[in-house]
Amino acid sequence: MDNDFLQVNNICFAYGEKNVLENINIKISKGEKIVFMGKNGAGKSTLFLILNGVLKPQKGSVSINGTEVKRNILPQKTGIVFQDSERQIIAPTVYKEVMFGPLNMGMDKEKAHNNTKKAMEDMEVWDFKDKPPHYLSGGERKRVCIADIAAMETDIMIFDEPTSFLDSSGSEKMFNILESFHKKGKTVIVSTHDENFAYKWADRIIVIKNGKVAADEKTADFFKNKKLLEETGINMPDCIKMWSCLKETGFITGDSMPKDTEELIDIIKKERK
Amino acid sequence: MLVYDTLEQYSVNSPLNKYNAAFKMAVSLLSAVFVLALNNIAVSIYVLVMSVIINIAVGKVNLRDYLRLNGAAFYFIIASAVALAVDISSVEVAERNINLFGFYFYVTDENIYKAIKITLNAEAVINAVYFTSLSTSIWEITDVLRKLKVPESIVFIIDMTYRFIFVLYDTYNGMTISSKSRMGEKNFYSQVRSFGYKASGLFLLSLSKADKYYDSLVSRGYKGGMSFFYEKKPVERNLVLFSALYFVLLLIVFWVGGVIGG
Ligand SMILES: Nc1ncnc2c1ncn2[C@@H]1O[C@H](COP(=O)(O)OP(=O)(O)O)[C@@H](O)[C@H]1O
Ligand SMILES: [Mg+2]
Repeated sequence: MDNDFLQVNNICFAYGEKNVLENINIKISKGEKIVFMGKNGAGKSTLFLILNGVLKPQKGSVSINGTEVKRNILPQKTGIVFQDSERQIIAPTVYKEVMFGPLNMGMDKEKAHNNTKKAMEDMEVWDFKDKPPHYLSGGERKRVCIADIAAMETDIMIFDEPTSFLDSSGSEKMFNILESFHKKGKTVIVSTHDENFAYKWADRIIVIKNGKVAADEKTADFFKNKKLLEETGINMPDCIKMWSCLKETGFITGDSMPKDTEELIDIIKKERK
Repeated sequence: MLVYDTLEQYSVNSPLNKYNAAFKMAVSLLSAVFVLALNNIAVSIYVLVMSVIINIAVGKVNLRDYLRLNGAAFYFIIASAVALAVDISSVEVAERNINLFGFYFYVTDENIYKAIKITLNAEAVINAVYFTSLSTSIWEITDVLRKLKVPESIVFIIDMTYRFIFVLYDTYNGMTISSKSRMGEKNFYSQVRSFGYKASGLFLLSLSKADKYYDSLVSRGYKGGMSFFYEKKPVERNLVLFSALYFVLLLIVFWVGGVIGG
């Protein structure tokens, strides 16, 4: 795999005198599923806004396919779905909201409309097209925000804590949505506090701690590494906790780690029949 | 940090918080009245400078936060000042002018003077009001208004407006970031569209927020009056002396300004 599709080169950022990011270096492959973790205030959202070109780092650069990308071009390459949809939605109707990005990118009206319609249908919000977005439910609003970015057809899609305001069925839907973008060949970057979600979905976990990269590992390697988990303050996913306990007590023996509780149940059923 | 949080935090932690709320409000309001009634550049500058000094040096407001709080109002004021200063004519006028779209946009010395005066007046009033806002919690302010027998419906509106201006300002900032992230600020045409969206979006948002805010009040037993516990804050002698001195100086500035300005 081409390992430097998206490259974050030595980025430093401060809000006024407050240093938020220090010498961040990250390389991401095309089509990779990346999860960012780390405590509130670690600097994840700030890094995302830099990747998207909204914030200007004091030092460092972002490059795609080996060439540095200027800030004003970045929004065409990396779309971002904000954590709080109330702070993302700006237009008075849902349709105008989703058309906003494509029109700004300079797509012609017809292509912009087609993209918008497709993205809204995929997100199941086409029925609301003439409604004011602020009167939709939380989950519906979130899907409008995703359509916002999908309609822009950026290669890289960033989701800032996409599950934070959703209930469990909403989270499951989100999982499938992220999966569907991955299947379309997008490079999907997500931040979350949910270790179960991260473990099940991601190819790679990057932990930001006090503005630095504290871990950057393949998902299974990261969640197996008790010491690293402790250092970074991330919890072990429930199914690994149970699986290791069952293994230690000799209840099961196999070596393949389950991806979630369902898989663990299957393993137990198979071994203990 | 939210601008609203900034204000709330300062109003509670300010070294000036210990003083009597009604007295602070009186000083702020009287300053504003002097600025508006005298309509004199020297007085506006005096009130502006004194307010800034007191808010920053005595009230211990961080300079960066202070500029940020002033930023929002400043844009509005400058925008209206520019509108005041620039006249449009279809024929060429002798003074400074530029020809755009077949019209002559020109400014006269008189208009510039008028615009500067209004800008200074507005800034002076705002900064004088910040003397109260940055040192007094909204609950104390509305309490004073109630004691003055201001009708409850008006107090409620003041309370709401106060909360809302900052929430809306903050939301507006959030929307601008969102718009930037989708290239909505890249050129003039995009900016016009974004601004239209943001304005109508804010309006709808404030409607739904007002609804929720009212529900939250009612759910906690709001029946048109609020009851809180206040500590009594006496009016201290030094405070009265300082304030008297401040207003005497203000009148002297007015008088001297009148003499110099002819
Ligand atoms: N607009 C801002 N102005 C000043 N400080 C900010 C701003 N936004 C975020 N911060 C600060 O930057 C740090 C990183 O924040 P953020 O990137 O939002 O972290 P995360 O997304 O990991 O929770 C925090 O300490 C936060 O308080
Ligand atoms: Mg965040």
